[in-house]
Amino acid sequence: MRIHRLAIRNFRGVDSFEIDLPADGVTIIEGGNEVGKSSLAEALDLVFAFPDNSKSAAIRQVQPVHRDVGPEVEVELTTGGYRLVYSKRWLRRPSTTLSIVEPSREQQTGRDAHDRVNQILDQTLDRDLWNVLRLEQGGDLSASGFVLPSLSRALEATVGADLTGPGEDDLWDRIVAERDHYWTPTGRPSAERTRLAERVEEAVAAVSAIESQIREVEARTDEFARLEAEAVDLAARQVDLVQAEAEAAGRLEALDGLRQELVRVEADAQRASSDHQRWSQLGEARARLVESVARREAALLESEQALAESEPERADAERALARLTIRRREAADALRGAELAADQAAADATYRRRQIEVAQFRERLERVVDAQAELERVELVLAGVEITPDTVVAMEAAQLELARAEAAAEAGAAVVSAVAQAGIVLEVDGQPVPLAPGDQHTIAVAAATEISVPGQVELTVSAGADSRVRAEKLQEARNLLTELCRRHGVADLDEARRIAAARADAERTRTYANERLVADLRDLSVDGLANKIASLSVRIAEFEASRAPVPALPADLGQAQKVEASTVEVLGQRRSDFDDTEADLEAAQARTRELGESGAARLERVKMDRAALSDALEVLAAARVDHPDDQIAEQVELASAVRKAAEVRLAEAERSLALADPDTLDALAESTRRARERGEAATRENRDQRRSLTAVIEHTGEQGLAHRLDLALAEADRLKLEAERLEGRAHAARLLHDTFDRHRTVARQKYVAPFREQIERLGRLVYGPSLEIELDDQLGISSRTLNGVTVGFDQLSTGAREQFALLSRLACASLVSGNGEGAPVVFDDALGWTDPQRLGQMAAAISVAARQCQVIVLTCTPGRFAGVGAASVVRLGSSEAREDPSLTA
Amino acid sequence: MVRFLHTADWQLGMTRRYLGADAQPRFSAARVDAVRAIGSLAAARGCDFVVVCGDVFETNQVERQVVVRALDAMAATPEVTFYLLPGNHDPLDASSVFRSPTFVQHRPSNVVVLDRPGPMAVSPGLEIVAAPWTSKRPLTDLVGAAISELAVDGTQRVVVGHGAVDYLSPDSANPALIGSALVDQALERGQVHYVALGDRHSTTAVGRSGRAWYSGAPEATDFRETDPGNVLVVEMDDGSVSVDPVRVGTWEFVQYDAEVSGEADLDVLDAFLDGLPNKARTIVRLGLVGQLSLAEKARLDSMLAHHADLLGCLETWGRRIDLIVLPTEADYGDLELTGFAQTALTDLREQAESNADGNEVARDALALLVRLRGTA
Repeated sequence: MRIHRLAIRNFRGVDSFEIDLPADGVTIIEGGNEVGKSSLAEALDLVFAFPDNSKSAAIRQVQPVHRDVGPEVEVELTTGGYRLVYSKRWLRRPSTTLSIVEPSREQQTGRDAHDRVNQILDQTLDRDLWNVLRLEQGGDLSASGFVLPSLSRALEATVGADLTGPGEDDLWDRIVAERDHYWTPTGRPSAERTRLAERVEEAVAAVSAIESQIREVEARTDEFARLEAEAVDLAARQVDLVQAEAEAAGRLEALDGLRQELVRVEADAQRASSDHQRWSQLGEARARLVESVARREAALLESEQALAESEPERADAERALARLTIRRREAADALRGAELAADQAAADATYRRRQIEVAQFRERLERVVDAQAELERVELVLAGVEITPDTVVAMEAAQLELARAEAAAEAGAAVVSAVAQAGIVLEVDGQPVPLAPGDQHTIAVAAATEISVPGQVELTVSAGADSRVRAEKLQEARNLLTELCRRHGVADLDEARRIAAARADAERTRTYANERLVADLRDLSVDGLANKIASLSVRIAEFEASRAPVPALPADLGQAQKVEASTVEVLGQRRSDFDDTEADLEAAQARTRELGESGAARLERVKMDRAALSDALEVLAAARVDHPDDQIAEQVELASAVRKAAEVRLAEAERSLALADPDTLDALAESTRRARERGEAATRENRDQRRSLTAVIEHTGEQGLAHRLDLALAEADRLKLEAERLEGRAHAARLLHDTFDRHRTVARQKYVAPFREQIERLGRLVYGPSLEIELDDQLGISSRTLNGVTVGFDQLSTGAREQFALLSRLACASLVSGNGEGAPVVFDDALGWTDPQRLGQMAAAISVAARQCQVIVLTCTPGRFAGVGAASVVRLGSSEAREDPSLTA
Repeated sequence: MVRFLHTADWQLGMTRRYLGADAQPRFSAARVDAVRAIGSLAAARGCDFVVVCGDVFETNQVERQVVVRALDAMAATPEVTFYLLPGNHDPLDASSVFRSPTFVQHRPSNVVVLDRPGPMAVSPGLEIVAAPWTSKRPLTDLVGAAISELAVDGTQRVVVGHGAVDYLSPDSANPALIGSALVDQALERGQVHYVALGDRHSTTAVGRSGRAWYSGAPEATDFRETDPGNVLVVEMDDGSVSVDPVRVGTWEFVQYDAEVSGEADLDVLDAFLDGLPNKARTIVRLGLVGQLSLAEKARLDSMLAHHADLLGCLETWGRRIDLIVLPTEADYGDLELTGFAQTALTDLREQAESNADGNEVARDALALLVRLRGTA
């Protein structure tokens, strides 16, 4: 299809615009955004798609705003053999007109016109191609495919129609489906085949299992036959074994006889030996007895001799002891006399001392009694006296103070002297002072004194101030003294002094009496003293009453003490003598005792020896009664002979037994017995085995194994055949597929080559001579290679992808658009991502491609496609196509 | 005069794997029916008894059902006594079917198992001399052993034995082969008067005496048998013996080998199969070689399917069918392939027509291609 002219009116923002387009070559339509350049592309879509009565949103959108007009599109184009003018108005006075100019003139209007145009387009235009060749700004840049009937035809035409038609495509799909039926995508057997193979295996296994069961039955049957033969053998062998065992038993019986004989002979020998031993022991005992008697006789003799030899010494010692005993008695008597004398002397001395003591105690008692009486008297005195030396001192001080006050008062006071003319009674300060006539009465007025003669006069004399003070002090001193006297019960100081002196006397007396008491009582009380006197007196009296007249009582204590001292000296002498004698006696006693003990021992020894000898003699005699010595000797000899004979017989019996070879015979008997038992066990086992085999064989025999095997074999055969057929089909399907695939790939490569080469040819103008590309099944670009570096399409930059999108469309269009075929390439605001240098190269590629196709470039950027040679540039808004003078070359 | 029926190799319980689910039960039932027919025949011909010379059962491991059906068939003619000899398929070993509880329990009184070797009195002056197999591999000539000690005392003796005779067996080392010279000698001396043998499924006389026979199986069992399906009615009368083969078999085994390469061969094959009598009881095994086009192969398949429906069994697969199916130019002409598909087809044809390994796969692939294209 070629578009020769396009006009729009009342279409979006465009009031009216018309453009003529060259059949091949580039037309660049410039216009700013929102001007409506894209409206041109849109108009081409709408005019073919929507009948004039359409109210669709797409139509309503292109109606100018606020104007009651219908959008209009008119297009003049050639497609296939047709050249036609087609115009359409929507919404307001809708209309459609079609004027077909070639191949024959034809006019249509309305719906007929619309349908006719679509009919023509369906016949002549690859609509998919038409859609693919339009690249709009922001459109999908992914490597969209170019599987287009028109491109295919063009490519087939190029390579000589080597590729197949739709029928082959369908066949190929069937081949793939057939292959996929038997094989997984990874080339493994399909589930159906695997399952069948498994079933074959299972069936074969089932056959094997039954076969093995049958083999088992056969093996058991064979085993049974073998066991039967064995049973016959065993029975025959058993007869032999029983016989052998009987023979061995007979020989064993004989052996037992020999063994019993040996036991008997052994007992005889044992008996003879023990007889001989008994008599020998008896003989030995007898010899020991005789020897014992002799030994004891010798011992007695020896002990008697020792006893006799020790006797004289013992007699001497006893005599000495008797002498010393007498001497000791004498010394004791002397000692006792001395002791009596000394005691008497001591008692006498005591008596005299006590006499003195009692006299002294009596004196002390008397003094004590005196002192106590004195004390009682003095205490009585002291109890009535309160005056103490301190009292006296205080009173003396008060007296002195009074004297001082009086002196001071008298010195300073007014003195009133009254001389009575008649006897009167003066009253001085209330106190009557009777005055005889002529009596003078002086009154020192200390302060104020009232002097009156009652009934006559009353005078008040007032001292001066000083006088009153002194008078007051005087009065105080006087009061003090008076008070002291009153308190102590004395009239005045003198009396107090007297009383104080008497008291001091009494106190001295008391002190003295106390001192005497202490001196005489010392550590005793009065009663103690009295008791002492009493007890001493009693003892003295007792002594006097008991004192023997002889010896004479010493005259006094001194004599008594002299006598005492002498008796004590004698006593010491006597005690010493006694002690010496005592020691000698003790030594003699010890000696005597010692000798006596050893003598007793010797005597005892003699006695014992005598008794032992007697016992031995008795035992010997008794033994001789039982067995006289000569009888024993005879018996010993006899028993010895018997024993030797028994030993000889024993040796013979043992030799006989050894000759019978009991070990071998025993072993033989044992082994024949065991063999017979083993034979019996084997027979039993054989029987048991046959029984159990019979049971098993009967059981399996009932199972119809042969039939089951036949069934299993038939099933296995059937499955094997089925599997074989399936595998055959699978391999045929794969071979068919692989063969077709191989040829198809080759053909496809050949087929896509022109397209690839065309893209590369155009692309090399942009990227240089090293560019290569790869196409995928959908004829989209899968990768590009520059300078040997291959990059997948998806990894390319947005700009590069847009460039390749544009290049591949140009390539496609240039391949399919010969002779007015194909469709125009429309780029709307493309290459926005491309830098100026690359843009120039792209422009060159567009120029080259446009030699074989119609290219319409819509752009809002004037100059973006300035590099495109021989392009018609039209500015939207002007209705004139304008040739760019610089590009006409 | 003594008359009895000589049969053998009933092979009861035998199955044939190539038989389908329909044919196998009929085939099995026919064998039991044969037993019943033998009883009836014996009764009709006035036979004193029937001797079955071994392989009564296909195996000792036979199904219970087979045993009870066989015993039931024999019980149908109680006036006829069946003497059953254990053979090599059903030896009297520990697993013997004759000793199985099922057999023992259901054995009718007119069935006697010849379980002891040597003579056994049947009636005054008549003995059966049995040579039963007690294992699958006997180490001696059982018949020879049974007859060697027999006296010539005027007693009529029928030997009942089983196994190959020496001059008919290729396995001369087998110690159990029946010595034909001994047999002839015993017949000649008058120790025995008839030797009834089993093992060989085709009716066959042994030696030249005319008094030693294999009866053959009463129903065919395999394709290799030459004259199966008979029993022998034997009459002994004072030293003379007459043997009358009577057909009782109802099934046929037919092997047909042919080359089929083209429509004419297919016509011949079709006519042969069409002409078979008694189709429902005929088992046919085809051995086909040759090369067919896709169209011819399709005709063959359709023809065989038709005959398989009619026949007792038509074995049409396995190694015996060695047919090369190769699409012809005519087959290819319909494909109308262009472009790469055409080159791929050429490639496949070259593979299919070469002698290299995998040419079968290539042929299958071509057939598949034709099919896929055909359904397009």
